[in-house]
Amino acid sequence: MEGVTNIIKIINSKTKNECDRIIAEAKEFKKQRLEKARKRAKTITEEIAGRAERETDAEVAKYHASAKLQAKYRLLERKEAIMNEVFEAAWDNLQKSVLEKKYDKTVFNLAIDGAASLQEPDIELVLPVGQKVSLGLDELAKTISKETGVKTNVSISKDTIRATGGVIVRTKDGTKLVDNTYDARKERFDDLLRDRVASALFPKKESE
Amino acid sequence: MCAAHEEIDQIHEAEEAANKQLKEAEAHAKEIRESAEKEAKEITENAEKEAKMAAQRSRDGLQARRLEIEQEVQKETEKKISGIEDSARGQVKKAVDIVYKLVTGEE
Repeated sequence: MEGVTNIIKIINSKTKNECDRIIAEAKEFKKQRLEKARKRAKTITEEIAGRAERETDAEVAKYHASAKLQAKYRLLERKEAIMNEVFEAAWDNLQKSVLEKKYDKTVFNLAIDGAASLQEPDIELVLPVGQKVSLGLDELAKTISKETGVKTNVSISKDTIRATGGVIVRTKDGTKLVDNTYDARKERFDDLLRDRVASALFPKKESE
Repeated sequence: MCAAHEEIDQIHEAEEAANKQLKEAEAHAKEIRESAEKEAKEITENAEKEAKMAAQRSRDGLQARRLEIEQEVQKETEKKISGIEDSARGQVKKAVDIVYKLVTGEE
C-alpha cells in the first residue's frame, strides 16, 4: 500500500510541476508579447507623430514663403506706385516747362545734343505742334560747329510733330535723325530714369 | 488479488486526476495567451488611434497657424512699407528733379 501511495505522490508532484511549467510559460509569453506590443505602439506613435510633424512643418514653411512672397509683391507695388507718382509729377513739370522762358534754352541744348550725335553740316529742327521757340539759329549753328568741328547750318523745318516738348534734330535730307523730344527721351532713358529714381527714393538699405 | 486491483484503481484515478489538471492548466494557459494577444492588439490599436488623433489636431491647428503667419508677415510688411513711404516722401522732389533734368537734357 505504501508503494501505491508513493506512486500517487510522484504522479501528483509531476503533475503539479507540469501545470506550473505550463502556466509559467504562458505568463512569460504574455509578458513578452505585451512588451513587444508596447514597443510597437511606441514606434507607431513616433512614426505617425513624426509624419504629422514633418507635414505640419512643410505646411508652415509653405505659409511663410507664400506670405513673404505676397509681402514682397505688396512692397514692390507700393514702390511702383510712389515711382509713378514721381513720374507723373515730373511730367506735369515738363508740360508746364514749355511755357516758361527757360524752355528756349532747353530746346537749344537738346538741339546741340542731337546735332553733336549726327555730325552733319545741314541740320534741320522739327518742333512740337504749336510751340514757338526763340533759338537764335546763328548762335546755335556756331555752337554746334564748335562742338562737332563740322561747319553747320541750322534751319527750322516746316514740319511739326506731336510731342510734349523738345526737338527732333535731323539732316536736311531726312536720312538721319535724333529724336530729342521729351516723349522720346523719357522712353529712351526709361531704364536709367527708373534706376535713378528708385535709388533716390529707396536707398539701398531700405530696398533690400 | 482484490488489494492489487484496488491499488491499480487508485493509480488510475490519480492519473486521470493528473490528466484533468494538465488539461485545465493548458486551458488556462491558452486563456492567458489569448488575453495577451487581445491586450497587445488593443495596445497597438489605441496607440495608433491616439497618434492619429494627435496628428489630426495638429492639422486642424494649421489653419489658425496660417492666419497667424499671414497676420504677422502683413504687420511687418505694413511697418516696412510705412517706413519706406516716409523716407521716400522726403525724396520725391529730388526724384522729380532727376526725371526733369534727364528728359530736358539739363543733366
